[in-house]
Amino acid sequence: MDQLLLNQGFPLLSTLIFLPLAGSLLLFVVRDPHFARYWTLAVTSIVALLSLTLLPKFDRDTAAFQFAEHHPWIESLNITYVIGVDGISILLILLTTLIMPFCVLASWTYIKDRVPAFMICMLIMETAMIGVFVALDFVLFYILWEAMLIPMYFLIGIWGGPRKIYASIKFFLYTLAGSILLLVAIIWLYTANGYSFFIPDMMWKDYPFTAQILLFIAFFLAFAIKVPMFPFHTWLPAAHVEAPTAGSVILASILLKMGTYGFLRFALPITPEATTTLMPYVLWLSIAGIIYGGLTALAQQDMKKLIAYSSVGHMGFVTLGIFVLNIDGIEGAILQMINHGITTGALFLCVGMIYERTHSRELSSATGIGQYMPVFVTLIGIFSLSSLAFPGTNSFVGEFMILAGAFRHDVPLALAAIPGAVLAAAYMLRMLQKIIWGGTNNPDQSWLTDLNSREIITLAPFLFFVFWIGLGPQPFLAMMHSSVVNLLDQFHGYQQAITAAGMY
Amino acid sequence: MDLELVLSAAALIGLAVLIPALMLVTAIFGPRAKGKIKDEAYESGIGATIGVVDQKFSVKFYLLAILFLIFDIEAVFMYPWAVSVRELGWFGFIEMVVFMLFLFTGLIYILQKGVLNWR
Amino acid sequence: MNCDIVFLLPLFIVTIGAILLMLLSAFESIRLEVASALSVGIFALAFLVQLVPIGLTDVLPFVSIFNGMLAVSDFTRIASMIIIACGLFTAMSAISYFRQNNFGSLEFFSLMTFAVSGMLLLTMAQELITVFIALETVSLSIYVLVGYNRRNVLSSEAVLKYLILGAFAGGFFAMGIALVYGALGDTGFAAIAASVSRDGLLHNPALAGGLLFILFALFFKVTVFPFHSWVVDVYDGAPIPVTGFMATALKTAIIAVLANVLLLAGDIRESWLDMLFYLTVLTLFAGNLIAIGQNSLKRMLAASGIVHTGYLLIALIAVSGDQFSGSVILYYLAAYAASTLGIFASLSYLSGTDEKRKEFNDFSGLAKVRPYSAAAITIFLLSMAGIPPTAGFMGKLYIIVTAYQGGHVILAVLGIVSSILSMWYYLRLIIAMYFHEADDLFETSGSRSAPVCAFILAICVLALSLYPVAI
Repeated sequence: MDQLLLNQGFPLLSTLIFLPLAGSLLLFVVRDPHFARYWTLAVTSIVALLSLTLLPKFDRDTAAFQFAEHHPWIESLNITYVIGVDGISILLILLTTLIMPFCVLASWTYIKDRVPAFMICMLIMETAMIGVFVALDFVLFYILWEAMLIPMYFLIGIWGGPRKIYASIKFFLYTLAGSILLLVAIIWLYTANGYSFFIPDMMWKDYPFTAQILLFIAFFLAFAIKVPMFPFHTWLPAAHVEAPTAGSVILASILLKMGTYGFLRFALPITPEATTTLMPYVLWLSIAGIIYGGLTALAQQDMKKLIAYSSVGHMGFVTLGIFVLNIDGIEGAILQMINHGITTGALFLCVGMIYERTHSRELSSATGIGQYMPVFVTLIGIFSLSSLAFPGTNSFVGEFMILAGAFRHDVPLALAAIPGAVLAAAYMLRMLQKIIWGGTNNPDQSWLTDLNSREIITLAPFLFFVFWIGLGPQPFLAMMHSSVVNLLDQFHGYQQAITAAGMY
Repeated sequence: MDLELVLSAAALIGLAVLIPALMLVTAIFGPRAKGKIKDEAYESGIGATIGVVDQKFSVKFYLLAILFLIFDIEAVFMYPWAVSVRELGWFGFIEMVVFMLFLFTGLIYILQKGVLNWR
Repeated sequence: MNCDIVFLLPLFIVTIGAILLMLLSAFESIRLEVASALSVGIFALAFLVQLVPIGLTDVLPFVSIFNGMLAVSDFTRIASMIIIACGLFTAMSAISYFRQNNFGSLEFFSLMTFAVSGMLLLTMAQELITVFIALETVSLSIYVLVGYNRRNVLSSEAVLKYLILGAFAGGFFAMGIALVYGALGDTGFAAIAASVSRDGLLHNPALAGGLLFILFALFFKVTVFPFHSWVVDVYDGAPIPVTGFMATALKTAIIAVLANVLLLAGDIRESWLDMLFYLTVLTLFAGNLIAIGQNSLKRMLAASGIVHTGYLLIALIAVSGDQFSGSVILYYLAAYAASTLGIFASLSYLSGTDEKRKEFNDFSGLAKVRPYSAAAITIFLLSMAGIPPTAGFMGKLYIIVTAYQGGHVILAVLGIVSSILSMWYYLRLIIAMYFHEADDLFETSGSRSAPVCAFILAICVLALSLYPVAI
């Protein structure tokens, strides 16, 4: 229990988790669409503001879990309600809480049908997502991990596009199938750790090598599907294309991060030996994902699909950064997780705004709108530049750190990732070029109206973070530094112990 | 191996083979006369003399038969109790009263539902 | 002596209530609603009586009564509570059903109460002949209930199938008792267990054969592969409340008997472990395969019941015999009963006149017209599929953890795989309810009792998962 710094006084984390859930209860009773919108906006904003109060109290110099709460829950199986935050998860929690109000804003007019139900799904999603990032008990984690599926399934299936049923079932079954082995792994760890589900106790134990390999495979399947890594990515374009804007944003910004968060939180500390052994394969899969995502994105006519495939590429960078296992790589990966959340989230919002006007996601029907929507194309231009890691924007910092880490690890590997960056520039600029200028025979776009103030307010914070992280990433890196250093110290210490043991 | 077991098994197997074999042999080699009447299934003469047999009976017959069975068994159940009524004493008496009461409620139900009325 | 009577009080309450209801239905002096309320009252009383002593003493020692024919423990108490609760909710939701289906009569509630009394006896029975009598009490009532809709061809088919096969099973059981008695001169579970642990099972072929017959008869009742083939037709033909009642209360009672025979009186699973293992695997997959092919909701639920039996078998195989608490089995049964009854309660009022809505497609767009009903059904389905945060997930988690701890890794993995497979058919209804347009107004008539039932049960499903009290 020494990994926990117990929370004194107000249980902030629990409030963050349960406030949205409590807020959703009211919407079961009051079914007025307009009230539902304002109410959800209010609840998510309060959660966002509350989550910001974590920052001043967050201790950057410790790798322990802070604001921790610990209550017995199901004693017969030794399941506890234990939550806490460290440097790896705090940024993701803030990302979640801060993005949610803007998702609500983005759905303000987009969702016309069954608004209260939509907002209930959003609020339950928020509870589950925050819960996944803070859960330190494996059963609690698993419950929230699965609980997240249901509202997302409904978000895609009810408010989605024409092939929504196909997309939602594919999403559901893929993720569920990934979790099967996760559950097996959890139960194995439970028995191997003296019947405890407490996650920090499971880390850095000398499990037998074969067991580690099997555990790693179980973790890998669950998390790689969620990330999604090539070749487990096929649910992602389908889900992204069919989901409503808010669903796409949540999916891209937060849900995908759970996979990479899972690698950092579980795969590395629980199965370090297997990680070292299998690292090359994962790295080259990441490279394959980067190249594949880029090439496929280049060929897309559907803007949402384009961004979805670009996500595959970007998340490939993140897994690359995680598995090079050095400080630059991992810190870059965590930063890139945040960046991808901001940039891709914003891009999906932008596409949603076009879609609300033209009711099409096809590139060909959105050509040449630069003349009529100047504010819009400025914004989407900046976000696209951020997505292709233009210097001065947030993704540049993250990708640069990851590549630096990769070079330190293995030069050919890093060289192999470079084409991905070039491809990103190619497909993003292609999209921008078509949207802003188009060809010689553009459809008549003169009836389009530029962004209204609600839409600008929705996008403004994303813009702010694009430049803040791009120009001054130090505060963000400082927050995660101790935890990452601790992770790597433990990891290398573990390796040395293994090697030393091998010499005898 | 147990000799007795082997013998009994052999006897059973022998019977199982012998009887069908005999039936088969008589069917093949026995004298047989054919004809319209001869080829009809033997129904103890009913088919030819009193007409169809699969006519419908009133369900009341079955009901009555079942009711008879129930109360008959009840009476049978009382004999062993009657034999040992002294040993069982009041406990046995109360038990029997409870039993009778249960059946009595059943009788009330039957009467009320008109099962015993013939039409 | 006086103290022992207290343990049987719920049984007495239910039996006397059943007789009372029978007499009332003979005079036809009350309305259907009153009969329903009365049986709900009887069950509620029995439930409270059953509940109170548990609050006072946490673990009751085994108290032998009736010369060891019956025994009361925490296991039987909680199993009885589940059964009584099943009866209660069935009695409550049946009234909504009979509002829309014109064949309700007062005897329904009497028969159901009789069945519950037999089931209560089943959970407590420690001896084969008592089990047989209780089993027949239950079966006779349920035969009548299955064929309650006399004018319906499907219902008649169902009752004929169930009656004939059930009679066979009863015959098997009686034959088994005869063989066991011939081998041991005793029919008590304790005597059987003692003999098996002393000499081994195969030492006495008559005992082994007799037990096999008995197990088969019980397996027939809980639809273990290969004795499962009747279940789909019978559940389909029976009136909805009866189907729900059979699927939950009857299963609970028989599983309790199986636990008693195999475990409680002494562990005699060892000798059957291989057979149980294969039957479990086959039951899980037969159930899933049959369920995937169904288009009718009732038939799908019947087939998924087979799968749930498979999970219960995993628990029976895996729970440790020496310090048997049965909590894993009971928790799963409670979770399963709550979700299944919830679905059937919802169907009781949603299926409409003469059960006209029975296919998945008939519920298309339910979420638009009746969002609360659709939400409740979704909760129940997710619970049956074992998706957190519902009771069904916790139940499956307990079972899988138990299997893992008991060294049955294959069963644990198969259990998880099967739960993924089962998503396929549970999702179909959710898809129909939420993602399709409504072409039906889902008009239902009158009674609010089944919706209230469904609401309470939905709360139960969620509450059980957050506070697993039974464990």
